[in-house]
Amino acid sequence: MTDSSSDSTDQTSIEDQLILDALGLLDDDESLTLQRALKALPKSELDSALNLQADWAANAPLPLVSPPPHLRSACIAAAARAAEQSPEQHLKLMLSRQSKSQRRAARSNLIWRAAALAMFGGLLATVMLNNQSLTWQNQQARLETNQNILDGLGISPKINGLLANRANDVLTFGQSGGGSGQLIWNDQTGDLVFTTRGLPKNVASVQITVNGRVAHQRTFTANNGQFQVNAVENTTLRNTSGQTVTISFLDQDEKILLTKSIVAV
Amino acid sequence: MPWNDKDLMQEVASGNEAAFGELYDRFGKLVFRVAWQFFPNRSESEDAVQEVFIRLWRTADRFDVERAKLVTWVMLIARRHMIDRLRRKQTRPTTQDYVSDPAGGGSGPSEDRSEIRAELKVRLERLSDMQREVVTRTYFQGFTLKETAEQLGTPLGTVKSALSRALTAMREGPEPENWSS
Repeated sequence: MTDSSSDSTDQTSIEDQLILDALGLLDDDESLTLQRALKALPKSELDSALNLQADWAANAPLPLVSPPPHLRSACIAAAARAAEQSPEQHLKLMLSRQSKSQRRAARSNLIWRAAALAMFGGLLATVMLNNQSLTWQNQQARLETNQNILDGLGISPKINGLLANRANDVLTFGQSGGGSGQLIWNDQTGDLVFTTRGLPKNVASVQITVNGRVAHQRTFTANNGQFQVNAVENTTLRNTSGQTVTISFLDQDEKILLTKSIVAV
Repeated sequence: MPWNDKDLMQEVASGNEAAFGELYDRFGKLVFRVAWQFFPNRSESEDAVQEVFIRLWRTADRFDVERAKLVTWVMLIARRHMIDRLRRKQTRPTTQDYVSDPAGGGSGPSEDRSEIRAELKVRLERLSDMQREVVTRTYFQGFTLKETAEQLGTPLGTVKSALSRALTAMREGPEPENWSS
C-alpha cells in the first residue's frame, strides 16, 4: 500500500481529533484526553471547537435513509418499558450521581430519598405484577392505568422528577421523637415535594415560608407516623437563593410542632 | 416553545415524555442513519435506534452543555452503541450497504440514490490508498482506530490524520448536499 499524501505524518492536529471525536471514532480514553485539553482553551476557542464538532456530527456522511414513522412511538414505549422494568435502578443511578454533585447534602438526604424510592419502586412492582400477561397492544392502556393508580396515591412522574433532579434544593428537618423529613423544590418552577415520617398525630397543617412570607400552606394529616410523600406544583417557593426557607408543621392552634430553616444557596 | 439543549436533557432525565419525544424529533433521523450504516436492515436498525434512545434517557443527566453540543453528544452515544452492538454480532457492514433504503423511505427516488452511490464511489477512489483503507475500516466497518492501525501496521497518529483528512476531503467534494439532511 502506498500513500503519497500528507497524511503520512504521525502528528495529529487538535482539529483532526475534534472531527474524529465528533464522529465517535476516538476511544474513550482518547476522548477524555481531548476533553481535558479543551478545558484548557480560552472560552472563544472552546466555543469554536464545540461548534466545529457539532457541525461534523450534524453533517456526518451517513446513509440516505429515513426512519419509519412508527419508530418514534416505539422508542417512547421502549423507554417507558425500561423505566417500568427498572425504576429503582434508574432512580438509584440518578440519586448516586446527585450525591456526588451535592456533597454538602447530609447523608440523611439519601436515606430519605431511598425511602421514597423504595415506596415508588414497590408500588410500581405491584402494578407490574398485576399486569405481566398483557400484550404490547395493551401497553398504552396499562401505562395509563398505572399512572392513574400512582396519581391517586400522589406518586407521579412529577415527584420522580423532583426527587431525581440534582439541581433542586433540599431542606432536611427532624427532631428526636418529633418526626423528620425532607423538602425538595425546584427553584425555577416552584414545584415541591416533601416527605415526612414519625410526625405527631396532632399535626394539622404544613407551612413553607421564604423570609417569613408564606409560599405554601395546606392542611396536613399525619398518617399515624407513617412515611408520606406530598407534591405540590407551581408554588411561590422560587428564586430562593440567599433567602431563608422554613418548613413548619403546626397544630390546630397554629402552634409550631416541628420547624427547620435553611438559607438557600 | 422548544427546549434549549440543557433544559431538554434535564427534562428527559426527569422522565418527561414530551421532552423525550422532542429528543427523538430532533435526532431520530440522525440516529437511524447511524444505525443503518452499521446494520443495513430494517428490523435491526430499528432495534438499535430504540436501544440508543434508552441509553440517551439513562445518561441524560450526564450531558454537560459546557463540554459538547447536544448533537455531538447524541452522535457519540449512537456510534459507540453501534460499535458495541457490532462487536457482539461479529459481522461487518460493507460500503455496498451505504445508500440502500429500508423500504423506499429514503430522501429521493432510486435514480437519485444511484447517483449518490456513484458519487460516493468516485470520492472514495479519489482518496489515497491509505486514506481509503482507513475510511473503509473505521468509518464504514466500525473497527477502532487502534485495531485499524494494527491491521495496517501503521502508527496510530497516522491513521487518525489519514481518517480526518479523508473525511474532510470527502465532505468538501462537489454535490454533497444529500449526505445528510
